[in-house]
Amino acid sequence: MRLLSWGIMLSLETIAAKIDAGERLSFDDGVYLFRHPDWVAVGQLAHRDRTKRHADRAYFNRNMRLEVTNVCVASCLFCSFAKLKEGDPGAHTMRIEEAWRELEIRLHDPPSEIHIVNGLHPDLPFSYYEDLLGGFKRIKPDIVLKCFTAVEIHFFAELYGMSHEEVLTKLRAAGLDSLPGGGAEIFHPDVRTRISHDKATAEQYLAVHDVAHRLGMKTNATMLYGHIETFEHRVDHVLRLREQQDKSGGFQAFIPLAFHPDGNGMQHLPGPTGVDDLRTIAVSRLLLDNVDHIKAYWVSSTPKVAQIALRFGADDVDGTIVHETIYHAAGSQSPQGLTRDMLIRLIQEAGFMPVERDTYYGVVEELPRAVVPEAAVKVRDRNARKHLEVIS
Amino acid sequence: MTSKLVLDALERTGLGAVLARRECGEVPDDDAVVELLASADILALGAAADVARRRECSPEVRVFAPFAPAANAIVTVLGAREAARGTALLRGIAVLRLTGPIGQSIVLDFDVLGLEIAQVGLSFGATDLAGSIGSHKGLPIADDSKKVIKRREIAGFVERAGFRAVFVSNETSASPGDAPSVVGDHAQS
Repeated sequence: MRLLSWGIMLSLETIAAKIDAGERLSFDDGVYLFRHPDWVAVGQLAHRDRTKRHADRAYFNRNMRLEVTNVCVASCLFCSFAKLKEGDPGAHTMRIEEAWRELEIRLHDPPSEIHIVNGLHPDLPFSYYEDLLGGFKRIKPDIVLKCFTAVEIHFFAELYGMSHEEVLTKLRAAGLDSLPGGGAEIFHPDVRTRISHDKATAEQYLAVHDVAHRLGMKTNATMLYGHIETFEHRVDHVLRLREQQDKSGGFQAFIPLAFHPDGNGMQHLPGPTGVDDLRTIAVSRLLLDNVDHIKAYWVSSTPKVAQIALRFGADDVDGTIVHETIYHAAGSQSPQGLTRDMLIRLIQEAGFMPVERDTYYGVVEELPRAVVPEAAVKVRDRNARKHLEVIS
Repeated sequence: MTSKLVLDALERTGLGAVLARRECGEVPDDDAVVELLASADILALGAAADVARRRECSPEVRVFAPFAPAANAIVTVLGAREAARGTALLRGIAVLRLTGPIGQSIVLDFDVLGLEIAQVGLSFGATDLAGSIGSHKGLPIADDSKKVIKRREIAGFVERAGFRAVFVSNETSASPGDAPSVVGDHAQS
């Protein structure tokens, strides 16, 4: 229990009572939850909330990640992916036909969504992006295009001399459906100016989402944690998103992203731990009372931690992804893609009902729960228990 | 630290009774207990195992490097086949804690399981870690400066799980499982 300066006693019990009464958690509540030593109990509170919202459903989708260019004028300290200019070692920009080909070769088992995140390329014409989107729609008209972070949209607005609304309107006309949540990093200026000083500010990031929501688009939001920020910065970040959601209401999911230190300007830092990953998921679930979904992005946290996160407030493990490169440039040891069957098994073994969703959380298919989740069968078998042969 | 919220939950789920039996020196592994543990909510189960671990074992987490100690009646080493999935492993650790000998050592091989999962396992009843101290990718390397970083990293993982790391070197042992020697806690390393 902690005595705040104005004499209010904080404890997990008082926070649980607030949640039960439908009261909104405060900044202090959030910091308290991040600092509470009984992190599993924090997870229990989050799981209770998650269960009220989604019962035993756990979502995934069939998506495809694509990074068409890693050329980027921004110099974010945490990034291992970007190259400053064309011709630098490792720099690449796909020809549009190459990008389209990535979808064409998967049409026998097509994704329902393409998720594109790029560097901030200073020389590509706006028509490159319009043609890119239009081509994907020609190849598969029902594909959902979740492309370009709010940071990219803001960069386009500055580079091509348009407003956020003009950029989004033109890209929507070309086929854009939704925005991913990347680029949020940490909103607080004490951190943001140190790790990513030369790209969209927090206010600009939120302004882009505000416009997108007013135009009827659904978007996601992220937070990059586990580097130089404090718990207070994390809570501030989440509460700014909550405030924006109160205004515009279009965020579908919040995705905490674990910082990976390899090959970037902050490689001296250790990065977050498994406990930190799970606690961040849990506190996010409890604070973000107006965002339906909390996603455990398996690429950043590993599939095993993502599976456990389903018991700590997360209800979504993202998708098949196919070929992720941004986190892998930063040393992620997760696979670059998971099959649909692997995701289903991951969810079933955690005791949940896998639900394949579309981008907007419409149900594509509900799959059965595992009859006996986790290692329950082996736990019941005393001989096997001695050797702990879990289901594999 | 276990909150009242959790202790109440343990009583509600029947896991409090399992803990009470262990506190009396009994090892509860009858069919009814196993059935309870097999179907209990994983977080409640973990909380019960954590309570048992804190009551029965040292608050220190021994980090054996580069080998795990030999398994015996009171030492269980988890790795390899147990690496299948996160929640299954956690349930297995907790069940071992609650149905195994009082004060048993449960060692998690972080080379195989991954340091993140091994760290989480410390809050589900595991007592110790084992593995090679090397680069961030878990590859053993000879560079001493990197070794220090990795050791500090492991110490940080242990600390952030609420425990204190004590490193135990068995590097000079003839083979994995030979008697290890304690080389100091993380503050000295």
